[in-house]
Amino acid sequence: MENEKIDEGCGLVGGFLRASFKFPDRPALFVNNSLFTYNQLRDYARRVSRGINSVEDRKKSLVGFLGYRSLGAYSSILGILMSGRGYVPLNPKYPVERIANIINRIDADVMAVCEECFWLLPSLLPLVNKAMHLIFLDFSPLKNTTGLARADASTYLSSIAADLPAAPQTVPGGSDVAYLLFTSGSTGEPKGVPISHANVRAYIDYTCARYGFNEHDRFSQTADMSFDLSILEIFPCWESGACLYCLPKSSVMLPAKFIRDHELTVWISVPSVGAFLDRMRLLHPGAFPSLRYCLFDGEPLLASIASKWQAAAPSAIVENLYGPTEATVAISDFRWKGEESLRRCKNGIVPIGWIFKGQFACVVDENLLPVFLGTLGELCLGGSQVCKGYYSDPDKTKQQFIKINNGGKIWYRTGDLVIENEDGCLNYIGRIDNQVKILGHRVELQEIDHALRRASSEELAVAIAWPLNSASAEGVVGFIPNSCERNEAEIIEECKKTLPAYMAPSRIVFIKNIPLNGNAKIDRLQLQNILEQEKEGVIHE
Amino acid sequence: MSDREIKDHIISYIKAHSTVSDKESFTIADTTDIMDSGLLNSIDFIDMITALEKKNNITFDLENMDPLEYSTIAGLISAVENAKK
Repeated sequence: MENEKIDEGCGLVGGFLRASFKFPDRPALFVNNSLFTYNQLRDYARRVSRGINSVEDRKKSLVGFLGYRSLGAYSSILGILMSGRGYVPLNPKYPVERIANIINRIDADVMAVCEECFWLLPSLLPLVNKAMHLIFLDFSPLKNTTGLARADASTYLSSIAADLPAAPQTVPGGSDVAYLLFTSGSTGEPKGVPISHANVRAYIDYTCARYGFNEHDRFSQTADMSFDLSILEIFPCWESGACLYCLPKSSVMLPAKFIRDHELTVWISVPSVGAFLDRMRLLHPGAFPSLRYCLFDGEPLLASIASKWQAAAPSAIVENLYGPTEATVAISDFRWKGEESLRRCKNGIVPIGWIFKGQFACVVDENLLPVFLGTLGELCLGGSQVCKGYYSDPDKTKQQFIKINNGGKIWYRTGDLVIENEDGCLNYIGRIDNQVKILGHRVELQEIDHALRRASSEELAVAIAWPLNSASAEGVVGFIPNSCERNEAEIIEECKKTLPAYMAPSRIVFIKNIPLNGNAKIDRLQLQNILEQEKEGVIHE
Repeated sequence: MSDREIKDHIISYIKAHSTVSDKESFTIADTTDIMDSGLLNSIDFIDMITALEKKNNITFDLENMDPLEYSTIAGLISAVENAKK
């Protein structure tokens, strides 16, 4: 790849390289108020790739990088891929112990460190238990390197001449890892999900063919690189010769002005952004006339938010995407079509739609036997987008990657409960771990969430089964933001209008904020902890 | 609210909602980005904006403001002044 020969074997980075030769002078990246062309970005990435190849002779398959919303971070992704290795994003927002844990577990002894993360090294490096070669991504000579030198070896990118001879070309195979992400499990060790070039190529090829992006598109980039939504933002954009706009952190949750100022054409985010915009009066009809696509992924999309996005971006196609990290970003989609779509929603949540052509779904019961259409069951996924198992973790792999009916195919158990309709459209009902028994009845907490949302007129309303004893509970507690104008009795009374008595919350807790995890998803475990601590007599504000 | 009062209000809001460990000796420069520095998360930040609007009986022109303009104490003070005009 270093000698710029591009063929189908170039895996995930091939699309970027092709676009960089086709559109060398077109803008590829807007970050920190600067615009970089495809030529410039390829040159920066090439320097990273050479930096890696100059210190490591391909004994390792992965390279970690520590970077955040910067030219260095994007160049790292591309440079690592161009060097023929897979990238492992190390999110500087994570606790240092977690970053060190990842570094210690991966098959890598080189780490690229971007300038914005240099400050982290003095606390991180003492926790790393192996020799690492650090490549400092200083695109200009560093002004002050005091305190940075506690690495076993280090290379400054500014010292790498741009005209070094090309390193031997290394073309990754389809089964080689393109990227390795660690899922943000709320308990225990994070699980490493290795996605191969074959997995991600299947996904990118489907996505590009479906949407027909082109070099005039301007994509949003909001997701951290440790979250696989970033793959959807970054790679289809660069495959199409389009420009990627990295939103400043301050605009990620309130992007209205940024979308308008930069006339973005493709918006991709978690659905919560819509709820924030709505709260700040910024999701009004006609707000975003430039948008051609609004794609949501990562958590359930509420029908109310889909409908408001559609009105705000009247020329756009609004879609709900679904897919666990293990199945490469997204594996099903549902196009929002107003009233017609509203009728397909369950519990106020937009369907996750149809499985992509060429991928497979099977809905099973607790004995892993396929259920009839229209029956609730756990969604299992198979096909070229589904990874082979967890990184260096055969036990967890065995638990989640299974055979159905003793067939030869391996399926990934998502833990998501769905109902498949007669036309193949899937409705997401909830997580299997949110399925509890209350007084003997099987209950989906999402259904109660929906009733709470309606009763409180708050978008973020959450039900917790409580008190909990393994998977059964005596009742339900509702959590509502304290901005709600209704009182406890009114909300409970309203819920009782739609829910059977055993499902209606017996109590409402008003809290300042519904806790979200690092990926902006509702963190039920934290809410459960509040109740747990309350039981133990810890007083909360 | 005077500039001083706005500043005190924001600081006490941050103290109440932030996870900073040493709340007693906590200080913040007028130009520190409240969200970028991790002092408040997005939800707390939005709540703080709403609370400032309520307290001052104003409506910010969020439509035409870059979040960077109102994510510092200095920015918020001038945003309140502009909204009062």
